[in-house]
Amino acid sequence: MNTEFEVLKKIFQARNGVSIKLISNHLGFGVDYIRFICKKLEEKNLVKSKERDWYVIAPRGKGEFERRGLIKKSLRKKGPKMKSSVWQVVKMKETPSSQPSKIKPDFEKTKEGYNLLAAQKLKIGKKIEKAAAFLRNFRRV
Amino acid sequence: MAKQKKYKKSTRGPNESLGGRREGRSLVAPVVKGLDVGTAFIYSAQKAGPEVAFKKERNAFFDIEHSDFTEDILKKSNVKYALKGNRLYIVGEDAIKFANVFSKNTRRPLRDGVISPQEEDALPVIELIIKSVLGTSRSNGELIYYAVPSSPVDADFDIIYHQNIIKRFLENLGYQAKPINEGLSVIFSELAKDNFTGIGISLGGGMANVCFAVMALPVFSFSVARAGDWIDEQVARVTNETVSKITAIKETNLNLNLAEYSTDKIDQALYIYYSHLIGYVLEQIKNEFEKNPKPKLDKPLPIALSGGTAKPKGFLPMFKAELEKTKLPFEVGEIKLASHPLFSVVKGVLIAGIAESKKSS
Repeated sequence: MNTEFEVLKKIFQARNGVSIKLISNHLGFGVDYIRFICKKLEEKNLVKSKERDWYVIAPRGKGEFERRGLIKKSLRKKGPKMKSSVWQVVKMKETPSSQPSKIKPDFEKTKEGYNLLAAQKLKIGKKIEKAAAFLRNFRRV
Repeated sequence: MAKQKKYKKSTRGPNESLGGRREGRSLVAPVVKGLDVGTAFIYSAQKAGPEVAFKKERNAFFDIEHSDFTEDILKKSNVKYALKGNRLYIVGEDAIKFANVFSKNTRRPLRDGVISPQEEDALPVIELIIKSVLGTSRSNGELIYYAVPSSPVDADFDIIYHQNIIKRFLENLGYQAKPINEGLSVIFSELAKDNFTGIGISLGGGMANVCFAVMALPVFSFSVARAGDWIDEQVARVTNETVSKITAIKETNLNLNLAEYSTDKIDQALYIYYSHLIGYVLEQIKNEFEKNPKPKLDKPLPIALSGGTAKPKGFLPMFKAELEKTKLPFEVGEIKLASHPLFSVVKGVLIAGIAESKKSS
C-alpha cells in the first residue's frame, strides 16, 4: 500500500473530511508532503477540498476502495430496471481487483525528497526489521 | 418515546483514531527515527508499521535581503526559509535554484563532515533543515539515533562540538538523541549476512568514514577529511572550471568505466582524483590495521561501500582495481556496494534504533 492510498484511506475514514495536519500526525509524514499528496489526489478527482487544507472523499475515491474490494459495492435499488445492476457486475469483472492501482507511486519526482518507490519501501522495511532483530541478538551477548 | 442519542462534538487529539468504527483504537504505530547529517545532504528515515520512509534535503542555504514582498512569494511557493535580522535564509534544494537565478554559489553549513567554523549562520540553518526532514517529536522523549563521523586522522579537529550541537537540536525538537558511528551504521546496514563483521566505508561529501567491526562491535574507526568535495575542488582547480559545474557533472552523468578513456578533460580529471581518493583511503586502512591489535579471523573480511561519492557507475570495479594495488594486511572477502548508497548510513542508523527500542521495551 503506497502513501497516497494511505492518505486516501484516512480521508475516507473521516466522513466529514479531515485536515492535513491530522493526517500528518497519524502517518508521521510532514504537513507539506501530505498537502502535496492531497493536491495530487484532488487532481485525480479522488478527493475534494472543502476549504484550505481540509479534504473530503469524492465519489471516485470511494470507487477506488470498491475496486480494490476493500468495501462492498453498493448496488442501488432501481426497481424493475435490474439490467443496469447486471451490467455493473459484468463491468466489475472486466476490471478485476488484481489489476494494478491507478495511483502510481511517484515519490521520485516530489519536492519533499521521498526518493524510493512504495514497493521498495516495503521491501526495505522487512529487511531492516530482520537486520534489527539479528543485531539485537548480537548486542545481547 | 424513542431514546435520542446525544452526540458530543468530537474533541479528538492528534494521536487518536479517525473513523467511527475504529474509535478508541490508536492507529499510530511506535515510530523509530534515524538521522544522518551529511556535508552535502541531510537524510532521515522513519519506520512506521511495515514501511520505511526516507527523506532527504540538501544541506545548503542562500541568503537574500528581506522584504515583505519577497517573504510573501516564498510563503506562497512553499519555500523553506528562515528570517534572521534583515536577511532571508532559503534552505535546501530551493537554495540551489535561487543561487542559479542570482548566479552565485550556495553557502554550506558543514565543511569536512562537521559544522563549518567559517560559516557564522550555520547553526540556525542546520536546525531548520533537521526540523524539515524530521518534524517535531510526537511524544516527548521519542528515540532517535543520529550518525556522527569519527575523528579524522589527517586533519586537526575533533567531532565533539558537532556531535553535541546536533544532539541539542534534536533534544529541542523533543527527541531523546543517541549518536552512532557513521562507519558502524554502514556495517549494520550492509553486512547483516556477514554477522556484522567487516569493514564499512562511507564516502560522503566532506569525509570518508571507515569502521572495522567484529560481531557488531567496533574494533576501530577513523575518518579522512577527503571525499567528494575534495574531488570537486581539485578537478575544478586543474580544469579551470567552477566547483558547482564539476559537482553537477559528477552527480548526474559520470561513468568511471568510460572516464579513463574519455577525451574530455573533466572526465579524465575526475577519474584521476577518484582513483587517488580510493588509494588514499585504502592506504589509511592499511596504516590503522598495522597500528591496532589484529583480531584473529577465520574468514576473509567483507567490505561495504556507501555514500554519494560511491554512487557513480564504475566505482566498484575501480575500487577493486585499487585494492589489488594496495596490499592490505588481511584477506579481503566480498566487496559490496550498497543497494542505495545515499541512504545506507541512515538505514544502518535506523536498524540500530529499532534494535535498541525493542531491547528496551
